[in-house]
Amino acid sequence: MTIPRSVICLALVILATTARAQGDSVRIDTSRFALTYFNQFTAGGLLGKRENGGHTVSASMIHGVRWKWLSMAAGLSLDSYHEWNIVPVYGSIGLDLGRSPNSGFFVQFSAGPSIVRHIDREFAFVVFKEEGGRMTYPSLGYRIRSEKWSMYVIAGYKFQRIRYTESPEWSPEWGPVPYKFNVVRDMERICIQLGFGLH
Amino acid sequence: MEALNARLKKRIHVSLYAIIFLTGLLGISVILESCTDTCEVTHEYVYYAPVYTSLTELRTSVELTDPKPVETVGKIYIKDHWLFVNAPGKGIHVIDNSNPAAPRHVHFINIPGSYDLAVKGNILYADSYIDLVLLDISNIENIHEINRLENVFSNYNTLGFYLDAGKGLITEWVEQTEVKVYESDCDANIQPWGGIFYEDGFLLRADAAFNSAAAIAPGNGSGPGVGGSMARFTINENHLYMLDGGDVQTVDITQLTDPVVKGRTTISWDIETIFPYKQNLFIGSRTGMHILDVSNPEQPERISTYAHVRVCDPVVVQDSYAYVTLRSGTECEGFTNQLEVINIEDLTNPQLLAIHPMHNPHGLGIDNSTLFVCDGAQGLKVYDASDYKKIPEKQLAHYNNIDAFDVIPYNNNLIMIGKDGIFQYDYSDPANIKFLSKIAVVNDNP
Repeated sequence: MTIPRSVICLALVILATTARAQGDSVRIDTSRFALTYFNQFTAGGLLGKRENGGHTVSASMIHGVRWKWLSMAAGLSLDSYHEWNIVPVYGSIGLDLGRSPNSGFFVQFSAGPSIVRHIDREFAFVVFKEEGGRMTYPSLGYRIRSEKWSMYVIAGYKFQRIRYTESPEWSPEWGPVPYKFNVVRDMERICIQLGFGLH
Repeated sequence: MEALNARLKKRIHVSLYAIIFLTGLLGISVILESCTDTCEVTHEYVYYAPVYTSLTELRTSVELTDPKPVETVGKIYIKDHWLFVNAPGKGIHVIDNSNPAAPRHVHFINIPGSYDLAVKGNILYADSYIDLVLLDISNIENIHEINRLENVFSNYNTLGFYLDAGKGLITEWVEQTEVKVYESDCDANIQPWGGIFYEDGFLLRADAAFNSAAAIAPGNGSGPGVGGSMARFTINENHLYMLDGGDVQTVDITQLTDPVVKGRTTISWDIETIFPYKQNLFIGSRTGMHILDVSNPEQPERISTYAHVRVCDPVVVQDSYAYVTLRSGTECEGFTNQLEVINIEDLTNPQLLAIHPMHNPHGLGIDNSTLFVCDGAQGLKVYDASDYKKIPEKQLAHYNNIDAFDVIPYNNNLIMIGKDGIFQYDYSDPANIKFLSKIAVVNDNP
């Protein structure tokens, strides 16, 4: 059974809206209007169907600026997918849902191209040639801020589309071997991460 | 009453928490189950599909037609002043060679699947895939089929496909490019050790160098040849010997128009050429030269085998010496290019006498002590072979502007097959060979 991505995104938006409604209602701190640098270092798991390698790990780092309730950043991740290592290089925009300057829910949307590497196995007799990929990652997070530092809990839907070719390692001059397969592979995971960051 | 209400509320709360918890678990499991990998696979490959022709159609296709351009040159046979030039797979050009300086192309005999020929009397014997066709050539203007031995070449096949009783024979492989797009679960997009043959044909790499015409040709030595060093047919007295796969098929042609199929002698899967000399047949293979005794013509008996490295090796014989050229190349494999002289005084124990390096020698011919070697891109080389040890030192002539495959020295008229055509020379003075004529090949395909 596969849930369309649009449904998952809608669910995240509803969750975010609900969370915003539950946010603290305080006076707006004018200092939040200043453009401030922030960063975010997170690590966690990619949760997926067992047949696709089960659960793997993901680590991310973003650097950006925050203005009012908005944030914009550039980031880098290292995502493991059983037999693939993927490094998405992406841009990210975020929106704080609560009005508390310290803690609250936020939504974040990241997207960008990926560098793809196949983890070759011995005696597999298949040659992979990676062509690259792209990532989209809508997520919902909660930030707890203390002084300059913040802690994060983030959950989201990470979608990777990678392109590569597969061909047999053994290939005679002319012979009976199926030649080459061009593959577009979509990988969907629930991503849950914990982390910290400056501001 | 209040206590009861409190207990009831508590139970409702517990139930609600349980429902929420279970719903949460269900939701997470559904979401995780949906988080899967899907692959869209595009598979492109070059596919050679067989084209079948029925036996009925093949067996009614033999006919005499007007002359056609010489596009490819196969085996050649000389009969009196007539030159019969095989067009591999298609038929035979009939050329009036009464004046070697001006040969005249008079007819073409359409014989599908023809690669070899031999002539005795007024009968031309030619193969047609699995059949042996007999043509009456007594009147060149009325060459016609007079008999046929059906299914005599039982080993004929193309890429392992033999005669199909229902569909006939594969007479062509047509290139097709297939693109298949399908969804997969990404687990096993490809099978690295795929099957040999596919249901509808033969699957190849997209960049494979595949020659459909070569795949249709029988045997290994499908290159151009003559009733000499590269032929697969030969006549010795009243018997026609033909290579069929790894066998020598014997046909009694005492009655020229009514041949009788005799025994079949298995030699080796890689035999290529056959050359008769006195009471013996010298059969060239990729791994050696086999010597057969045909004193009992219907039952050739192998006397000995002279083994060499794995290459192609046409052979000719003169008196006590056999001359063998070994060459490497895609179809021939190996890394050896040389001329070998072998002592065959004792046919049961042939002995190597000398090795002379060559460039890429193909066919060869000998007339008395004059040895002609087609040395590939280095052209035709003519040697005085009276002293086998000094053959390279006694080079009489070298014509390096022709990519030569094979030669027939015949009554001082040298017929040479090259990449560009059929050349004729007068070699009455071996040291001063004179060019006589050229029958041009209309394209560059050998």
